[in-house]
Amino acid sequence: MDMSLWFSSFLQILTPEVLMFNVFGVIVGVVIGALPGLSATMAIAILTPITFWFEPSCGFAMLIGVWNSAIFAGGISAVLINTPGTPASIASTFDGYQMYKQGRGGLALGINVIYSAIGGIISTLFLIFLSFPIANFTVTFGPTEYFMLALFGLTMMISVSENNIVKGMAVGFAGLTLSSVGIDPILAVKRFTLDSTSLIAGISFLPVMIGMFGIGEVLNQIYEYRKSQEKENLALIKQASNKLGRVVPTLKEFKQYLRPTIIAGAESTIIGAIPAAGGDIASIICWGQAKKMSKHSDEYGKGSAEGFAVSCTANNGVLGGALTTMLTLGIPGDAVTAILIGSLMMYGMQPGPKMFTEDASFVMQIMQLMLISNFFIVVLGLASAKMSAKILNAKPQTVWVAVTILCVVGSFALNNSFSDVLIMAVAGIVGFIFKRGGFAPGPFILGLLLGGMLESNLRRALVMSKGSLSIFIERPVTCVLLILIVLTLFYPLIRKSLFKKKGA
Amino acid sequence: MFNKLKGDPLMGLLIVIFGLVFFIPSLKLGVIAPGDIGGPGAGFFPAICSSFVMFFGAWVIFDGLKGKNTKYFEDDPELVKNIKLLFLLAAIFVSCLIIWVYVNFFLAMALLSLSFNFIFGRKALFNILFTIVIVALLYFVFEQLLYIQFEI
Repeated sequence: MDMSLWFSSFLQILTPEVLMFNVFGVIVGVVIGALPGLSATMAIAILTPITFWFEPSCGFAMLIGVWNSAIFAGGISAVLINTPGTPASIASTFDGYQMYKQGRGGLALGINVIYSAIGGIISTLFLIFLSFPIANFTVTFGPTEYFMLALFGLTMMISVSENNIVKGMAVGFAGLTLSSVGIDPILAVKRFTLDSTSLIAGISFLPVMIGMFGIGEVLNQIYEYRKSQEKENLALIKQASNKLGRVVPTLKEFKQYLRPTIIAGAESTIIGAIPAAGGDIASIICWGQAKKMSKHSDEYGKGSAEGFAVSCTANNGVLGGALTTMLTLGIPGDAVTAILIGSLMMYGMQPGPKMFTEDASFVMQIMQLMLISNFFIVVLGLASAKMSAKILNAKPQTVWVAVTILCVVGSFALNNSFSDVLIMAVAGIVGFIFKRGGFAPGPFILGLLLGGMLESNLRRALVMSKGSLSIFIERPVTCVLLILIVLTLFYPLIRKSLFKKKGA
Repeated sequence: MFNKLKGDPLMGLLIVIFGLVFFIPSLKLGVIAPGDIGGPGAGFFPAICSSFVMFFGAWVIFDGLKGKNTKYFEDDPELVKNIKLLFLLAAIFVSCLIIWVYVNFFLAMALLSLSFNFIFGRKALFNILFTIVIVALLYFVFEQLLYIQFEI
């Protein structure tokens, strides 16, 4: 590792401007993450177009801040009203809410801040030490390897299909089909452009994301909103603002939680590196694993501070792992990394091994920003732990109006294009229908994002081989990726038969 | 037959139609590249993807008709009311976009904020203050600071 480059990158982000954007991102992330129903994906989808007007380091400082803090802040509502603010905080409800009911809500909020940051730091250290060797290995990749990588990314459509694989595949292929709108990557022929100049460059990825995750979510929340439950919810939130107790754990407690949380940090980083395995899966696995290994396993689920610390470490621990896959291989593991890839591409960078040579300094800045974000999470999080309970007082109607307006502005600001606003609006309606019908939007987004990479590399490889498919099994890396793809495709069947055998 | 065409079968049918809309022009684009270039043509990739769209769309129809149908919208009167509300909000949204195109962006966003807040039953004072804050934010941050021109 080139230490001078690390140092110069660090100096570049150590400016008041970059730090201010990072702090702003952390604050926005806390507000959005703490509100149930508003996810980190939604926040990043709405904010990304705005960041293009800033320097890349400022824009990314904000996005990284939002991402890290939104995931940690999901634990605030998990502790106070037993509702995870983001899916990654599901396991935080197991012990966090019990701690709150036992009068240790303040301590739970403090643990949420400290151990989420520890998880984030551990996984970023893995990212720093592992990503460069991985990138060096993948630098020799050609079209065949890139095609296989894109195909591997697409097999994750199954994993992100939630409960219905058929529906996931249907919308996933729809996303792939839509990715072919625009100019053909090899022959430069216009495809499905309807003679519209705004479609020549293809369907812009970000307006679709903003619509599906922003407007789609708002429409769904409006549809599901029951006025009859309004009073009940308000009472629950008011009660949550009551006595919270001390916030910071004692040194003895800190030492007690250290071992399980370090293990959880390492485990969650590995889980995070697997595409589609997000914070929710990681925190549940790590919590279960820690319970098995703990001397106080009977306390888990009944307000165990140790169990809560483990789940908090795990939900932020996946971020470094997800970034490792995204930066080194250029494939997104989830919706957030998909948007981050999109925004890097807008800055003229292509995530993948080449980025480690062409934009090494920026790669380092991203890693350093991860560490700085976690530092700000600790400082701001601890200072405002008790105050953060007030965020829950925000009425959903206020959020709906603000999000709708920001979605309009965000989609327009991207290219100063009104047609992007229309695409966003249509995507919002489609996203709402997807939600109602149990169609996960994840596969659609993956298809739309990876379609270009898949098609161009497939066709380049076939031109090189004069149409022979054997080119895909002649190189060792493509063979390994092919085996992984087959295993991923058949994994649900293998798991089903294993469960059947266990059941018998 | 038409009675059954709701929920997943209807959605599946729309997916099949979507696939078909791309499949037919893909064949016209050419599945094999012309001349000496070799390899697949411009229509190869969309043809394959849209065939899969049609295949899985048909599967969704089949699953729905077989009894695995999903209920997209509940019969609960409170939720039925919400659907009407969604249509009203959508109509306002479209109207505001038209105002943006033909009159002015900030006026459109102010009207959007005022009407949405009014429909959501927010107090008049809150509504006015919220609208002033959000329009001021859009003007100073986006137009003045970021130089985004909202004129179309």
